[in-house]
Amino acid sequence: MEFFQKSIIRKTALFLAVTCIILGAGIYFFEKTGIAMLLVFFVITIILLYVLVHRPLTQVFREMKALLTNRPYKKIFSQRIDEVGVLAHFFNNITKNIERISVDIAEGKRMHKELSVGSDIQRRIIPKTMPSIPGITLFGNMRPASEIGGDSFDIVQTPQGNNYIYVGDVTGHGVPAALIMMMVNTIIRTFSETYGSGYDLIVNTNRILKQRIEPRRFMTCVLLRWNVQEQKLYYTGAGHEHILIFRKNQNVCEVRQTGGIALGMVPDISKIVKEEAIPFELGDTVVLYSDGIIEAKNMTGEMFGLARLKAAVEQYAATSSPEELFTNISKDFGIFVGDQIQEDDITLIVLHRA
Amino acid sequence: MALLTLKFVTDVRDEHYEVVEFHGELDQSTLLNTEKQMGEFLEPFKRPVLIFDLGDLKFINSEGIGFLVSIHAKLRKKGQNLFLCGFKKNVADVLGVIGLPSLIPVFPSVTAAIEHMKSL
Repeated sequence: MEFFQKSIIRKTALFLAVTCIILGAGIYFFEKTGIAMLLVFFVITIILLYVLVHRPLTQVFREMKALLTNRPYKKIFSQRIDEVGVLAHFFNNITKNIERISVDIAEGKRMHKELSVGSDIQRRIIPKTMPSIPGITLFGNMRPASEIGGDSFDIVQTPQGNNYIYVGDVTGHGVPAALIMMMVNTIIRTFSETYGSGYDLIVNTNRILKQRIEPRRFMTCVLLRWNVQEQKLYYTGAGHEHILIFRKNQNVCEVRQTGGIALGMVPDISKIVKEEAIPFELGDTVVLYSDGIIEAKNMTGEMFGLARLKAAVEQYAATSSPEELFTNISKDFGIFVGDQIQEDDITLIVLHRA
Repeated sequence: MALLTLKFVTDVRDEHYEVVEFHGELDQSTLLNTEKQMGEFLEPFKRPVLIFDLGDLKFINSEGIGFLVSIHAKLRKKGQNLFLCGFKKNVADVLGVIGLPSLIPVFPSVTAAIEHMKSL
């Protein structure tokens, strides 16, 4: 910080002193009088400059220098309303803002670290590899809009031969949605050991969830139950998006409403939801998804929509494995949305009767 | 960015209800302002029925539905009722999929909602 080595105040005082001496010497040489008056004027000027300008400015600059060289600095107390007061006030405000920003940055780093941990925890509960289930093959994935998301899917196998596959979507996204998603994931996993139907699982998950979340929060969900012994597929809807069923024999994609009501909306949904069987023949494909897919917009604001998703299923399902169908739909989706920012979590699960 | 305008319609001849018209889109981008406006409106609101006229609501997502559910819950706590009416097809589809009509009464029009209220 070389520029701190030179002081404009010192230079000004020196210049004034030299000027006074030259002027005094001149007057003395020509007039031979007034030397005493000149000396008094000189001394008074120097004292005034020191008290009114040099000392307060030195204090301000000392603190500024400390700030700029990363040394400890202090708040400047000044009652003055002149230039020095403005400088002191400016310094105090700047340092106050810097301190606040520093605290915000530290807090931001801490939160980012915690979000990363949360993201890791969430990733761990999303199935990374697809289990081997007699009679069906499947593939699915979830992509959150931020570090952590409110979409969920899971595959739970029970010793009784029931295989539960569900997709859930909590209102909004981010931390609040992720906490609810984790809660539901745990409840469903736990209850799957106790209950033997999708209906009981959904009704009791809702009963527990409703007591723990605020009214504006809820989770839509559709739960499939593939029973290995029966070789039958059942579904229980809780206010979720439609189920797409590709019928290989007819080469058409059927759109079925899931029905029910979203989890967490009312305390008792036992009269509203029901478990129903879906005819699921060899070669048929079932696709579950979250609204993040159909409500995703492209650069012109147009939504991907159910029709495009259905068309993609019809185009690829007949010749694709679940993973291939997933990839093909993802490609179509990616081309459609382009560089548009992902605003909501997206989940897609493909189930194939093999 | 989506826009939403609320229009508060008070029937000076009937103190049993008040209508709020929604014009625009109800999603995360319009939610904060809407919640603020509704919060201020609901504070002194004493009438037994509040009717949301969603006839000019062009889009609603799950966060918008969460907002409707929270208003319903607030009113029920005070013994008041929320009625929803007049939907466009896409909005009706979303509300139907989530199962909202099982929770909040829905009507095809404001007139139908008022008639239902009078029949209670």
